[in-house]
Amino acid sequence: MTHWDPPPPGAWDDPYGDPDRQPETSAGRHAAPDDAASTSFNGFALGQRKSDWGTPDLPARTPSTWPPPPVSGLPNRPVSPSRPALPNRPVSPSRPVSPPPPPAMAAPPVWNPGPGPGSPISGNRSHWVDQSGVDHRGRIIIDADDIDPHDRSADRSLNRRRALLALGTVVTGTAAALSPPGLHLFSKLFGGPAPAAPTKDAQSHDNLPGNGSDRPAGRQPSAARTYTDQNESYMGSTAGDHVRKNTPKTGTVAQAGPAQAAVSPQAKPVAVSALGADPARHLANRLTFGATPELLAEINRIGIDQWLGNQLAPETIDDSKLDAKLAELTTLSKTVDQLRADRDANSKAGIAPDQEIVEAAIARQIWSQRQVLEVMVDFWNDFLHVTAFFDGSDVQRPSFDKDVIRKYALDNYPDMFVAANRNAALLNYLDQDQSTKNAINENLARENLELFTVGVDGGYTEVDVRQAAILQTGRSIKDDKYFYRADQHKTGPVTIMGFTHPNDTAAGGEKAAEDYFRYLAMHPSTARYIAVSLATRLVSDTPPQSLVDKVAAAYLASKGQIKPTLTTLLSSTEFWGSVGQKVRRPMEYLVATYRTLGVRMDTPAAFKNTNANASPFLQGLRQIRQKMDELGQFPTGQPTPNGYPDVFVAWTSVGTMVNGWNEAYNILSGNRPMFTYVNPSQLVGATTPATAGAYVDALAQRLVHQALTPAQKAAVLEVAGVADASTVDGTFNGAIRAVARTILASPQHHLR
Amino acid sequence: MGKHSYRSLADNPGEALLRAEAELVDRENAELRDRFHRLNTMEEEQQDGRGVSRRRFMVGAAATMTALATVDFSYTRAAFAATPGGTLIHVFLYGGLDGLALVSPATAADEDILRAARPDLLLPNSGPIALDRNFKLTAAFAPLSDNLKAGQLAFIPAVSDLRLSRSHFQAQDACNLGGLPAETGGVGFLDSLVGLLGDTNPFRSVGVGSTLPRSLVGKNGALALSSVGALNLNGEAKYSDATAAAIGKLFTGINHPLEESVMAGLAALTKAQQIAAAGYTPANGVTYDGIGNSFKQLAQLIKGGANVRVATIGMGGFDTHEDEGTQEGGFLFGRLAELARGMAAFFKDLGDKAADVTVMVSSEFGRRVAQDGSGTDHGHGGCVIVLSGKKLAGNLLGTWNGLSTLDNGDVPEYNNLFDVFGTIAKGRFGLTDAEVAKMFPARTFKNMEIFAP
Repeated sequence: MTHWDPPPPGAWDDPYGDPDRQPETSAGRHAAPDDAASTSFNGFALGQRKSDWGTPDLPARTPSTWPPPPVSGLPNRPVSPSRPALPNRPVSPSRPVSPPPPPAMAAPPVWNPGPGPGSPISGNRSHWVDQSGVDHRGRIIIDADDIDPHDRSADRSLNRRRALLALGTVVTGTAAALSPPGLHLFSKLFGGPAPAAPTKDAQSHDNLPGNGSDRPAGRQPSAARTYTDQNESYMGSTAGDHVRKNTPKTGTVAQAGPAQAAVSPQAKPVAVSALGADPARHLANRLTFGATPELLAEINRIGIDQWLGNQLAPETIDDSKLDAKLAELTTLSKTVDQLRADRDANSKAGIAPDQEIVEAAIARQIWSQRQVLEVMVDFWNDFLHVTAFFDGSDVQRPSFDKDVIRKYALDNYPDMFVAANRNAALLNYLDQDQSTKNAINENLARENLELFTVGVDGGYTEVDVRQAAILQTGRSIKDDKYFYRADQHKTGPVTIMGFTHPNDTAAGGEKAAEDYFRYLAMHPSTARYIAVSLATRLVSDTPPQSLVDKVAAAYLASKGQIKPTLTTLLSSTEFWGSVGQKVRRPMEYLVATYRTLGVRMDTPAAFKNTNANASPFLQGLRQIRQKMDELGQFPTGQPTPNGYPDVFVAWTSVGTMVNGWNEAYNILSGNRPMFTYVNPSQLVGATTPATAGAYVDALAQRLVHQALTPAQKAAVLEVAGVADASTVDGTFNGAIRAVARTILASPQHHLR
Repeated sequence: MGKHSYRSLADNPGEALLRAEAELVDRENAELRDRFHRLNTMEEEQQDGRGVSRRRFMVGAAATMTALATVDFSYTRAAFAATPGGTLIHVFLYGGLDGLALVSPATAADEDILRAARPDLLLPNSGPIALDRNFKLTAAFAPLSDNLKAGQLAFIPAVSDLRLSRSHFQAQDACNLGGLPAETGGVGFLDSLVGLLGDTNPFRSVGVGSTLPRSLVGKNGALALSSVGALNLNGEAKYSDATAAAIGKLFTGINHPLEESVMAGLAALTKAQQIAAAGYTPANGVTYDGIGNSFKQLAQLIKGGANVRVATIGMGGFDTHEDEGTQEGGFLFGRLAELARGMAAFFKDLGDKAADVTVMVSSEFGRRVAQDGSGTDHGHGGCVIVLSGKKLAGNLLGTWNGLSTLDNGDVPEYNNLFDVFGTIAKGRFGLTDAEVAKMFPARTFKNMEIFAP
């Protein structure tokens, strides 16, 4: 079952010519803005920029043998009969031809990693309180100012109070004149005068030319040469230099696929790492949430290519055991309308659909057989990010998970991006539903460019941001679902980063914006940004330019399909040569610990459930979510729209590490009685090894799937205070949990 | 609820009724908030008590020192003659704080401009606090009134840098680096400062939170932590020291920069466990809520003798595109009030030690003067807040040339952000101009009048 035709041999060789050749100017990648005098400003030299590269001219494709079709009906992996067949992908309607992107560069771009996040970008305030630990559940702390002009809630007295508070704040302003928003609210609540026309000064500034600022940086974000995002910024430090040194700088794509790439001489790691170069374990570390003995056995038995082929067709993988447990999370299968209807009942019962989405993701990370899908879901959750909890998330957020991220995670990004912009969660989160033709809100328009497609270095100007905001007007929400309000759409021709559209009818504005979204999704800067992000997640915190180029080209050549893009990355020797260079983030560390310890989702018979509204499994998942929250990372948890940082420098926190080590000990002690645990003394099997040294060896193989160095082994033995050759019982003379926890605190478990 | 006359609430009964009801709801909400925060604090305190019995642990402390001494800490520092004391804390407000919602010029001309451009986003009519130079301060900052009177609190309006764009990420990064990547070599400005101070103790550089802010990332190991009390290895006490020592050995020579981070963390662990073992009760009847809990961690470290030189706190939610709410009961008012409470509690808790502490609060940019719907868009000139145990030169500092000429609708840059940061760092630690220039390369540092002579 191939979904695409991969390019023929030779297509990947040097799509841009010699990648090491320097560009014609000494500075960066992007064209200077129209302002010709931007070589320097007040003494600061500004990078000259060339226009974004055009789509590479690849030869026509012919089928190859990769990927192999997934094999169904293997004796030990039956295909679940209950899984419905995937519907045929709808054919996209023909679109008006957009003008091509700016002309290709004469010289190839050279990504300058050189010298050179901490701070998450803040998103809309109404959906997050702060990062110091205050609960982001808006319903526990009633956000007194949160007026809801669409009156979603059935609780009218609560809504009235909220509206009154807001009105109070409006009314207590200048006594003389009620401003337009105030008048609107007043008439909504009490009847009364129609809203007055907004004054010129109170109007949105789209009347002002966006390039009116004196400062180049005020006109265009990329005029001040910056890192592309938080990941690149963090790695522009000395720690970044070290990882860069350890990461392969060049490589090739193996035509026969990942397994061939894994054993290619070019795939040899360029740096010694705490993780030995075992391809199966490397694959498990990168493309799953953590190796287990069973998983490694499977990869070794059927081979890398077959395993990946299966994983890339997740619908053919039996996940029925987990699905049965997930059925206990009763809201997962509900539609938006059902969640609206159930809102009060859920609230009374302490059922939170937005929490259940997070908890289901946690369960899948730990227990799903469809690990590659889950890795990609997490990747997209950080890239096309809508935070988990915001005002209205209980009804709106689950749809984003199902209908945007999970639906397209292994499909294609243009469809995902369009679906996102048709989803109430994103429109709410970034204020699009507040944007009307008289008061244009630019938040989503900006982040569509900066975070979800071309990136801050993509070359867009403030004029582009404003034009995009104009084009997006009318896209709104009704009944917690996407709804297009033509009467709120501002017409007029737009030009945004080379995309033009007459935008001459309000009714046609919806399609015009979607044409624009598809244009952005297939922009070369988007291909580059997705490639960099994917390579950062899967290869190295400092991904090599050679790999980024190939992955970006694959994205464009396949029209934004994710499987060929991912397969190109996995077929690249750079991927296989980057062993041990990634570090587990707190959530990943915790999940990998659950996995390697073989914790099972079955509830022990002895567990007494006292909660009528939540099954033991759900209660256990909630606890894990809260622990992850404490550690600073849970699925979709980042409050700001840029998602969690993906590089280790951001996460170097002694607090988090100690907390993680402590939690490893707690899991070894079976701290959440809703799950089933392996007795620590049984981790290495029924037979206790003959000596303490052999026991440590066996534990290392069992927990981190490789041997420790002699020095490491000696250090672990010191925890128990016994000699290598001494005899210990199954409990390691009482120290088994301390010893096992120490191994789980090793670099072999922190690195991946 | 107290008695309110029509006159004091509003001009007419209708509005007065609204105001009265609004106040009632606000009070209920505040009670709920307090209750939640109290529960939160209680839970945190319970967590402090988890795990090892403190008395048993202290017995093993001596062994830990020896064990850790053999661990190879891979960072080395040149020895300096004297390590200056004192602490500089940078609070970063993420999202772009609307400076005009915090301090507002009160001249007739400027007020006319504000009334016309942002009629719904003015300072609350009731209770604005008068500042020098015909400025006023939002009533949200009432918790800091005592500090204001004591000359410890100051505001610097119209602060920015020409290289800051309207992108959150780009502007935050430039603020945190002290310039652009190529200029700063990718080193955070606070990390540069730590390097200049030459302090070698493990807690010299602390970020409160689970991720490290970019300003602390560079060459000197910074620690990120959310809770001092949680810095404590659990499990049976008799294995604790050996475990910490073993982890250090496990990470020795792994050829990955994670090693440095782990070693820095382990070096801090002993001291942290001593401080955590003592528990923490704020002094002077102080209670902390919300962002105050981050300040509380720093208070615990500073009073516990951890020798924190540079620290950061992050507070989000300032990207007020809609429902900005500058009036009492409004969203931004509430955020600012929470910040003020945290800062006031922190200084009161520190007591005498506040003399050596300076807190500076900034954001990546300000917001446009004109409102856009019920909120504002990304702007340029913003406000910096200084709270300092060392007396300040006034409470409204820097240059101010009014709002009659805007920068494309934004508050202009009348004061440069890095001049502000540099002057504060200089005043706090006695740096030379040349040293400050190292923190902010590629520009000429200009001293400002911030501290009293």
